[in-house]
Amino acid sequence: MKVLVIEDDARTASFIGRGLTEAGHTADLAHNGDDGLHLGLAGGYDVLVIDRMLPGLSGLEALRALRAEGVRAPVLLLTALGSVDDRVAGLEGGADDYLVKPFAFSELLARLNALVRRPPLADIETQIRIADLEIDTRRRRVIRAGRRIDLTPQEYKLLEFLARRVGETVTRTMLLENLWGFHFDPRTNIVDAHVSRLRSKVDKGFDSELIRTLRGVGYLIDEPE
Amino acid sequence: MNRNRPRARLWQTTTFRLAVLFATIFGIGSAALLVVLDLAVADFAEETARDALRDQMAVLKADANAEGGLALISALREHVEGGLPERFSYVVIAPTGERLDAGLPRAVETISGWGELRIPTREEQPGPDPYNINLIVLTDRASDGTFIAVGRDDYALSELREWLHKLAVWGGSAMVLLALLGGVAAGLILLNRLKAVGAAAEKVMRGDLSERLPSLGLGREFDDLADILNVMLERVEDAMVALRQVSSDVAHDLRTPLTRLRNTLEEAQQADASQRDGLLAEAIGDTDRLLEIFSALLRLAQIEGGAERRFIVMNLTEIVGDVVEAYRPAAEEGGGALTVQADGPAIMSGDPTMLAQVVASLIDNAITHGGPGGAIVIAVHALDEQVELSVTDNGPGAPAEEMSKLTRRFYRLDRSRNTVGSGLGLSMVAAIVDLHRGELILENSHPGMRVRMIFPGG
Repeated sequence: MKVLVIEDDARTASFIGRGLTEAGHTADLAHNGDDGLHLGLAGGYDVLVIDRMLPGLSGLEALRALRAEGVRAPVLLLTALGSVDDRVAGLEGGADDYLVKPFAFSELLARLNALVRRPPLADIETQIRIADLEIDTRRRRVIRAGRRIDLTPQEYKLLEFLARRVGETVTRTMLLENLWGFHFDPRTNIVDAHVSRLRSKVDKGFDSELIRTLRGVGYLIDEPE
Repeated sequence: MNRNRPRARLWQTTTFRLAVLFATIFGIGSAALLVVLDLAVADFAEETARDALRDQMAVLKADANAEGGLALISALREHVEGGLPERFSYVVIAPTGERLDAGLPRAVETISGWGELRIPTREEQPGPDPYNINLIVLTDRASDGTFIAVGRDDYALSELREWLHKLAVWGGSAMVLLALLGGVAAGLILLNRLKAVGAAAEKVMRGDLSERLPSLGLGREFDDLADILNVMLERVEDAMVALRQVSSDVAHDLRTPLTRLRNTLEEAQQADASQRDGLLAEAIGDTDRLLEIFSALLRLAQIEGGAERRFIVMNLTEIVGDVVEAYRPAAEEGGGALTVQADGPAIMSGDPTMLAQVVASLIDNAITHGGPGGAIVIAVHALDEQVELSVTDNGPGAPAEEMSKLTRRFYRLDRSRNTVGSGLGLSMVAAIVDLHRGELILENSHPGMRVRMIFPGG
């Protein structure tokens, strides 16, 4: 994917840029809001990463200007502040996701992937099939290898979230935010416990493991290799 | 702040303004009094003069009627020539043409009844018309046809008026002067009191936050103001003390993890390639923990500052349910149990995200400190006008004397030093409860620990 990174701190910017290049993506860097706005308006980006605090035109202002000019590409806002007000202001300003500094690069990459591949609302799948796993999202029914699997609401929620992003990395923070509405880090590793419960029902006793752990990053569900 | 602003000019000072204000009020007052007095006195004097003329006329007319005009003339002439001090002037003309002229011009003969005359004079006269003598005249005829005119000048009235004017000018000036002095005195007293307050404020500005403002002694309102400002200073002092405490806590408590990080990095530098990765991963982990502490501190500061308050009417039971469901697998994994005791919705006004964090943080604590296989009970009850939330574990609890210290930043019980945690969890809980105007009670539940929170209901 082609990413525009608007970030004033040179080291952070090149850290992100290098990471994206290594992951096989293209990254353009802008070091202030005005340059960023310029590049952003020129277009052609799949996703934008904008730091909230920029010299000159602030990140939020640049974002609003881009949206006003009809730039539709998804935007991930970076911020050093993690307050609720802040997040709400960012999302209201037209951001699609919000990441609080400091962050692990893998977290950023996972979120960018999720933004770029976010399925359009119109063709939401009601039948998801991954190898021999079938999910009927309307009836909330899960079948694997022809066998019905009973899941608790929490387990089902987690499975559907992963399955809708088949082949994509989903980080712990993404799960905490989207499934439980936690915008803080609980000390107890609640995500791993949920995943291990889900695994014991979906993967245990079957031929292959569909749910994979990416150490230190998160999880993904995919066809067996 | 401009602390060296030039001394205020005289006309800018309160003293001067008060004095001028007083003087103006008294000056206007004096002038008004003079005008009113002048009008009243003039009226009264003219009425008195007319009464006197009427009386005199009645006497003269009675004499003429009884003894005839000629007799009146001779009697009057005797009287006038006797040199007695005379208040009246006369003209009497008998039907025979015999006449007496005593102080009135001939023009008087054209007047019938009341009239006024003006006689030019060379000498300066007192009063508003200095080169004329003004006369009030009354004429009449006796039964035998004798013409009688009696006149009186307004000299006495003018004199009275002049005296009044003098009184007004001198009295008024004296009053204005006194008002100026009074204003200056009042201003100086006020300024002196304010100067004491200013001096106290200056001390506060220089950092002596224990200084308090003196009583102004100028009345209730001023003292109330001083009291309110003192309460404000108390708050500021408390906040500053807390801030100092926090800064030193931060400096102190971050030293340990930072030292550890440094050691790990040093080790990585000297280690061979095979060990380096592990050490670097450890260093990143240490850094993450430090950053977590920083963001927790930042968040704590935001909450304590009350900066972000997005209160909505919400059901605490629902939030507790959601958080407990999120934690259940993790708690049960270690053989523990999470139980919710709730008897229906508990409606209150609050920030759902923050309250979820409170519940999460308390469950975190109960899991970490409650020991393996602990039973954790989370209870929500809607009381009259209040909502009570409690989280109870059956772990070792905390010594009674340390209960009150648990909400301090970085405070950790000795036996908890080696568990994961920043020592900020309960500080955060306390801050959020405080923001919701709730009460936080830490108590032993024998065994274990109970954290109770009582919020105002909505």
